[in-house]
Parts: sequence; structure tokens; C-alpha cells
Amino acid sequence: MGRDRMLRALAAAIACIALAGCAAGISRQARSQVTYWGPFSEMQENPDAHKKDVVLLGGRIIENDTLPHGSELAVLQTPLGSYDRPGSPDASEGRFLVRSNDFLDPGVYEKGAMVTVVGEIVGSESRKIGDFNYVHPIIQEREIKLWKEPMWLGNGIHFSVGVGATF
Amino acid sequence: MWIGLLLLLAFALSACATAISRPYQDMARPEVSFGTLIAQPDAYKGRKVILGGYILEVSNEQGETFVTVLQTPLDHWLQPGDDRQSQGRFIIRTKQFLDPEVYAKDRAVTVGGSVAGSTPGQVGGSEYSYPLIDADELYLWPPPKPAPAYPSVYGPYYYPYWWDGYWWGYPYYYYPWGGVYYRHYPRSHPPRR
Repeated sequence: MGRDRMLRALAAAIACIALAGCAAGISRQARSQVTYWGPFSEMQENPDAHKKDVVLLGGRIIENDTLPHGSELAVLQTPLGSYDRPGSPDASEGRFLVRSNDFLDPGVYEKGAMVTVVGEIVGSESRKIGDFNYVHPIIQEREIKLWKEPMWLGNGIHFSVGVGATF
Repeated sequence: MWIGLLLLLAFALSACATAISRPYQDMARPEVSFGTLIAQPDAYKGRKVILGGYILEVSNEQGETFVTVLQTPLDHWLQPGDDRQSQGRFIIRTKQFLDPEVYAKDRAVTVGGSVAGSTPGQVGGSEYSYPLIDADELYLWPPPKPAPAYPSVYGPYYYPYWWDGYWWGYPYYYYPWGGVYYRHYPRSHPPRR
């Protein structure tokens, strides 16, 4: 009986580790609301034509501004990998803005951090990058995920084999 | 079996994809050395050249982007190398919008383009005449993996060390081809900050 209990505890521990490994990204509920799955660049060229569409986007935070009632993030878009995790910024197709009614603390949602967001396209704003007027689509946040854990924990299983020696 | 061999060959050849396309490399021959180009950029107007180095500055204009680059010699794969062997600076001009968050300072670029002359500028307080290159092909090299701070007895594939900061810190770069970068980025690559 004691052995049985131990086995059960072990199984529970393994399940815990296995489940923790599959760090969840965006909830199924939020994901099901997405209506636009097309390329980012096409949406960015004409955000107003996609108003009211719900998108799933991710990228690297460039700026975090605190608004009177919430926050606004400027994000460098990247393609999404497994678990909707943002990938390489080098493959970026552009930038977008995320507006949230919640206060996204700049100490947590800091510059350089990776985020994935589900939200509604509510419009666009032209802002200068250097002397270039860049059209930023504005996304009203419905769900946002900040990626804090290192990639390999959240992104499937990573094996590594090495030969070691000590002297 | 033959199909298998062909697949293997295709795979091997695809791994040799270069930063600048083969036809362009042919057009850029015979090579103009950067030393002669910077001495008299206007004499080489219209010539196709392949140059590379590390980004110093990106400036976005309406309809154009200018990238100021610290030139370095290129290796066999046209990848920029040691910045101590730099012979000067040049400016890339492109009609594309290049996001300065992607084309960040110190990132390595290789460009295939035609010489458009020179453009005056300043370095510190002194006048500097930059060769101006109109980009036809532009390649941004993936960021180098950081070299370990001490010699490793485990060999290169024991990397990544999860106790080093890069592994845990931002940005979580995604290396879609994994180990391929070891070839492009020998550990002698000078760390640049």
C-alpha cells in the first residue's frame, strides 16, 4: 500500500513536470475569436480595411507608454512559432500598436520582451520612424501573453548530448 | 537509391546558399577592392560591387532608407569579418523601408549593389566622403551566438549553456536551423557590443 502511494505521487510529479513543460500561450477561448489569419504585411498596408477583425499577433516590445486608462505597447512584429510564441525579429514584417485597458507595467512588459496578443483592429496611426511616416495598426487587446520563461522550456523538448571529462 | 542520393545532394547544395545570388556575384566581377573604391568613388559609378560590414546607423527617409556601414573584408561566404581590418565606411541606399529595430547597430550586413558615387558626411568633426551604394540585394546576417567565456572541454555541441545569461535573457532569439550557425559563426568572431 505504501508502495502504491509512492507510485501515485511519482506519477503526479511527472505529470506536473510534463504539463509545466507545455507552457501555454494564448487560451483556446481567445484563439477561437480570431477572424483574420492572413499575412501581417497585407493588414499593415491597410489596417482600416480590416477594422473589427480580430488578429493573433506577436513580437518584441519596442516601447511601453502608460496612458491615462491603461497602456500602449509598440511592438515589432515577428512570425509565431509553436504555442504562438514569437520567433526571430529578423523575419519581421513591420510594427503595430497594442492598446490595453489594463496597466501593463513597463517594468514587466519592458522593452525587448516578447509578447503574443489577441485583439481587435480598431484603427491605425501614422508615426514617424526617422523621417518615414509608418502606419501602425492599432490592436485593442483582449488577451496578452508575456513570454518570460526561456524558449526551450516552453517550446517542446530539447535534448542535448555531451561527453564530459574532469581533470 | 538514386533518388536518395539526389535528395542528399540537393540538401547539401541548398546548405551552400549564399548571401548574394550567384548571378550577382558574377556581375560584380572583376572585383573592385574597397580601398580603390573609397579613394575615388565617382570613377566607379555604375559598377556592381559586393560589400559588407557592421551597421553604424540607419536613417529612414520618406521612400528611402540609408544604412551607414563600417566596412570589413568578407570571407568565403561573403560574411563580414574582423572590424580591425576595416578600410572605411560606406552608405547603402535602398527604396525599401528597413526597420532600425531589425537593422540595429553592430549587426552584420552584406550588400550587392551599384556604385552611385559619393556623399559627403562627417565623422567626428572631420569631413568624410562616403561611397554610396544603391542596393540590389541586401542580406542581414543572423546575430552571432555568444562565445563561452572560458574554453570548453565539451566541444561546440554541448552549447547552449543554460547558466549563461543569454539563454535566459531577452531577446529569445529563434534559430530555425540550429547548429548551422556554427559554421557561419566561428567562435573567433569578434564579440561586438
